[in-house]
Amino acid sequence: MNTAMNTRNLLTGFFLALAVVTQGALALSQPGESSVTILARGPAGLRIEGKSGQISLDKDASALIFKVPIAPIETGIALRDRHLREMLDAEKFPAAILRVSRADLTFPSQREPAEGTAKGELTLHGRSRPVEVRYRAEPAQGGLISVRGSLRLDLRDFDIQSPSYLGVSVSPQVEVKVELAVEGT
Amino acid sequence: MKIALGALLAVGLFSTAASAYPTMIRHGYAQCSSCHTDPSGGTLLTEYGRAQSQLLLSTRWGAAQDSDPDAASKFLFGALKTPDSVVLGGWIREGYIWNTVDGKLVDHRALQMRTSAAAAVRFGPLRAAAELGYASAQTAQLAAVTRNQDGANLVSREHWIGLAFADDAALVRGGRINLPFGLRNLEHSSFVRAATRTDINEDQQDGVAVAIATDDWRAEVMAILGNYSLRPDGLRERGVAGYVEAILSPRVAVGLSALATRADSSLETRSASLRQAYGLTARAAPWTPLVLSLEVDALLLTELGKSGPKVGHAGWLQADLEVLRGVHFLGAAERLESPAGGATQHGLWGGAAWFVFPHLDVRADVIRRTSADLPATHTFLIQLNGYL
Repeated sequence: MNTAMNTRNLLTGFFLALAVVTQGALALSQPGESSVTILARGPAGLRIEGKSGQISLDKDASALIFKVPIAPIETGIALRDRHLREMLDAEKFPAAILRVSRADLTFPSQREPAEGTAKGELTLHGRSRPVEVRYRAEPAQGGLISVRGSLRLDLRDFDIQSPSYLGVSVSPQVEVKVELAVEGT
Repeated sequence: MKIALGALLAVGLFSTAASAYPTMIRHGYAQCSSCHTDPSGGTLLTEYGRAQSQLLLSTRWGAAQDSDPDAASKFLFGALKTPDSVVLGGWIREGYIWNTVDGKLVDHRALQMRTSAAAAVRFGPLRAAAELGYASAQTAQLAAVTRNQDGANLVSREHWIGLAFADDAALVRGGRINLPFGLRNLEHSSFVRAATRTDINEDQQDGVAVAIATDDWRAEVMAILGNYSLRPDGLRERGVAGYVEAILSPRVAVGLSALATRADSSLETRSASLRQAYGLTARAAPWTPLVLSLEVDALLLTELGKSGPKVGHAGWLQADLEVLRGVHFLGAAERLESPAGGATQHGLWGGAAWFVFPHLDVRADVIRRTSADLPATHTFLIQLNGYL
């Protein structure tokens, strides 16, 4: 009986630990690597996540410029990826570009992280619109700065039709989360 | 006597089956209501669900991964076009079963597992669904519409009408409804489904339910008013059942379930009894081809006015490995300590399923069950499932 109880507890514990580890691994998504996550929602709890590991950062004297190519974004379903590329007209407008003025940003010190909200300009589907970006930047290993940012956008502001497929429509409000490690600015 | 009991158990438990795929969480579908008319999953597919069946469940036979679903995914292969507000479906599931007890073949026969048609309609916020089918003698009796004791019957596993609100995030409905409890796995004879009497083959009850689905969690609670296919009234259970599942990520979900029902003459005890079950569920796809599912239920049975609750438990741990698109290897371990008594039972399941194309799947299972007071039973079951 004790052996059986132990086996049961072990199985339960193993599975729960696995679930927590899996969740942690998915959530953290290999810290230090760059990632972009796009979250769209549909009716009755439908959740669609698009992910890409490709994001680049250019800097000029006045702004930081983040660039995300559209084509590599994957939602886990190949057909949905194609629909995403078609919806964003990726051949004509191959990247989303976010420009954030340096003047709007607080940069972290060697010991203190920085966080806040900054105004930026997002260019998507050939249209440029102002957006608000929440960010947190903190020192990371190797002299890098770990940056996490998020923004919300409305697809209609960029002349993109709300996706609808076989009776399931996705909300035009979309969340974008970005995570990357950059060299100190 | 032991052999006869073992044979009876083995023969009786594997008779019919329905369809639900909680393992679709491997594709990020932790929720059910995009693909099914039942917000907690199972039974009729929506048009979107039919498309996913072709795109994600079935072998692609050389079709490009990003190609659109074609007419083959539709009702009757698209031969009959229905209005957007109407969903039609139907099932023909046939099987063959071999049962051995202590290594001796005690039974082998063809199984008529499911022959039914269903429809769902939506007009504005109104939602309704109903299924009507045929069940051969001694099968799906708890869903029977007709009263032929020794022969075939008409059955209706579900029939309900309801109102959707909050942009389809919520549905309140009344009628005969799948009980909201635990994993909605299609292995309806698994200990967790049989012991809690919450399978989607015949354990539906009449009542009123509210289902809510968001992208972070889903829940359904049902006031159980009794199974009106069951007579006399004293056998009917009344009470409440429900679950809540938190979606921790698109590929990890954990849930809690509870069920408490009272009957004047319980099917287990034949006396006034309170039946309770409290469960923990988890689903995780740590790697897209692999889905792990767990359910652990505490079972309590109280004969009212006679004694305190008798306690037991049931557990189920399943691994589903999709080795090629549409081809799955399935393995599960289960355990039951029934509150009604008897020795602890253990089960091991192994099998394979192939979703050949959107309207056809085949499955083979081997189930070994053992307990201290019964001889070991082995069940070999093959199934052929056609979906109209």
